[in-house]
Amino acid sequence: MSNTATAATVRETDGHLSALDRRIIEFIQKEIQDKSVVLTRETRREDVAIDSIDIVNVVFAIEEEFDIEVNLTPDAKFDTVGELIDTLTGFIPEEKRPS
Amino acid sequence: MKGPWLDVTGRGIVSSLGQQVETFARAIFEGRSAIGALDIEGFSLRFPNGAPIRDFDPSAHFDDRTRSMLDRFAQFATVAARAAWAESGLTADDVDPTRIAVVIGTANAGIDILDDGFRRIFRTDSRIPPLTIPQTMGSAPASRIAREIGARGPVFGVTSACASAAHAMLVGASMIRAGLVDVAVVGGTDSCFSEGYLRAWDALRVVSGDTCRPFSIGRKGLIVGEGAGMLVLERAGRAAARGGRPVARYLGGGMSSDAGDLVAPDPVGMAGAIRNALADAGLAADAVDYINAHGTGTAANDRAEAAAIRAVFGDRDEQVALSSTKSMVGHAMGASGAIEAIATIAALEHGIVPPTLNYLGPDPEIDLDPTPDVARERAIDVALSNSFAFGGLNVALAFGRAED
Repeated sequence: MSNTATAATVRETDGHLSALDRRIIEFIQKEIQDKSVVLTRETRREDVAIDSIDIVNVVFAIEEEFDIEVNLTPDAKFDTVGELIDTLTGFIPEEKRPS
Repeated sequence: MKGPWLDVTGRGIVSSLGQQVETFARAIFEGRSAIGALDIEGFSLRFPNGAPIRDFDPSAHFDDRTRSMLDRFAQFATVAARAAWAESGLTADDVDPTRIAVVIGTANAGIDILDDGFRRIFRTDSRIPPLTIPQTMGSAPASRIAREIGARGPVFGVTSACASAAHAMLVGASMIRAGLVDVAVVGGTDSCFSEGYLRAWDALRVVSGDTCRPFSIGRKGLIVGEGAGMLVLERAGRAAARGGRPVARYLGGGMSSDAGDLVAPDPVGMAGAIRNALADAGLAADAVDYINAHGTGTAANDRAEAAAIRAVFGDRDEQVALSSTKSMVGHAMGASGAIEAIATIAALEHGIVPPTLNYLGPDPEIDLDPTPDVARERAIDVALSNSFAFGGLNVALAFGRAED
């Protein structure tokens, strides 16, 4: 019971973010101009003006963090932060993802 | 005068003796020195001293994003250009943006970030940060400045080692005279204290083991400096028409090439640039009151420059004042011509010849008085600023007092 209650609390405060989601959001957060915006998976790209420079910087941060190669070009298409997270997650091997 | 002269309506500086034109001018008139012990770690150099800018705080000038896009040389340039533009008083209503040029000289381009990139590759075999290319390109300062002031005309960088800023100023001025643009933001910038760059100078063995003593007996070489200087130039009369106040006149400029040695200067080439500047400005040699020398403090430059000055001006050293501000701020490489143009304009404006510091006495091969140690008051109507680069690339620029 207590486990279920804890999980519900996390869902309420963090939506449906995994530990990896939260880490990637931290990287994106560093790049966007308005530092007061709280990013969620639903945040729309145009609302926070994520540009190609932001993407290359996030890709670089992920490569450094997980010691991997991310073959994503700066013109990658996505509409929401969640879509970008999912694309980036696809480059990160399961065994390197935070639990 | 032959003319047409141009109005200098704005100046901006980032130097080891201040980041305001007035602060810098007061410092050079007082004969203050920015040369001091270098604080280096992890490597050694034969020379202990330099003149880095110790109090430049990028976060005071740029938000995080902008700062991350700009190497130190581009940050210097942008800060100096903002000040020059502000002093000019130009606004978007005053000039067609397609008739504004930005021409910025640099010898080193983004060498701090290049140095860091090479360190990552060769020392730690790690990744190169993604913005390395746009950060390190030599035209990055010109692009940034154009963006900030909305310049949509000819915008580019130029390079000619230690004459880069002087070539940039002359090219911008020439575009105004040719009718291509009405306004030009011109100058130079360099950042000079990365490990790789300092070690490269060390290897060349022309950096002084003590200090910079231009034209002096016992001089041992140059002292590395850094910074940026920017001017706003406008077609003559334009500033007055919009209610602006010129701070000086750009009278003309001359260029020449030695077509010779990569490092040994040639007095014939240097004298050629000075003569070309006088001819371009329509001035006789006896119109010149002050020469801000290239005056690096190396044995070869100062001997050759003195010979060139003697060749052009004859025995007029009683009438022509001479000094080298590198004795105070070191050699800011691709920025030096612009920093020294600002020193030259300050001399015109205030009627003060800044001194040459660290003078130990006359070199028998240099029969000139470089205004040792203490500034001198004198009326200065016309002044030259010399820039003579490695590779035999020479520029002399002539400035005159703004009309009262």
